[in-house]
Amino acid sequence: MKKVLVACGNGIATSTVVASKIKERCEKEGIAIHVTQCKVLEVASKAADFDLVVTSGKFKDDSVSTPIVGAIALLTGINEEATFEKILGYLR
Amino acid sequence: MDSIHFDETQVLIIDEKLNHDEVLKKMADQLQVKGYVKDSYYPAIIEREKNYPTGLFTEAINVAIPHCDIANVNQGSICVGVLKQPTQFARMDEPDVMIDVQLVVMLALTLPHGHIEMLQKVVALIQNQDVVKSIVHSSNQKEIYETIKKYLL
Repeated sequence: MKKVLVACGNGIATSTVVASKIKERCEKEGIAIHVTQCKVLEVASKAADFDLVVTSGKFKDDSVSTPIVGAIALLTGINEEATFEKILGYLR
Repeated sequence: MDSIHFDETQVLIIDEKLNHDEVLKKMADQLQVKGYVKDSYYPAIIEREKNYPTGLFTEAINVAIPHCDIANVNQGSICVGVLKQPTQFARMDEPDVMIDVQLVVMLALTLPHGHIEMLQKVVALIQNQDVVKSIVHSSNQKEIYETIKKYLL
């Protein structure tokens, strides 16, 4: 089962929305995943244990080798489908 | 899910040109007067916006969703600010880029990973630009309240 780390500023608000949208979509697609939420500040130390990192805000850290997808589209709805495809591409 | 406090007085129609901090102060004060948030809420909101801004660029009417750590909140609540004169917020996904925001939905959350339904509804509302338009073009507090209530509660 692929593991996804979803991060936002405090690991509570927008990451919850993003995480639930990813879970819902994966369920629909029949993809089993495990989702964990955290603060953006914790991503660098946790990312290695995950197959994918998804962040609501901007995140860039060259020390992180896990793929990172920015998921602002899941909040604004602009290009939401393209972002889902990108995320699913790492999880299929 | 415990209930979210939201009534008509938590819809602020702001006609004057206020800057980012002034808008947030006015909205945070409204929640504080009601006892929903602590003294620490406003400074925490400002600090959060500095590090993790909440402006959402929508290609139409931009929205901001300021929020902060649950430690600063007494009771789950929201305050909605309709800015007749747009105020600049930094973008959540591009913190160096400022955007004109006309609708601010300030969230006071009490449960870690909680209030998810409400949050999802806020996001659904933001994504419905027809509704966002009807909100920011209205000058009727009750009408805005009823519209938002229909979507969020």
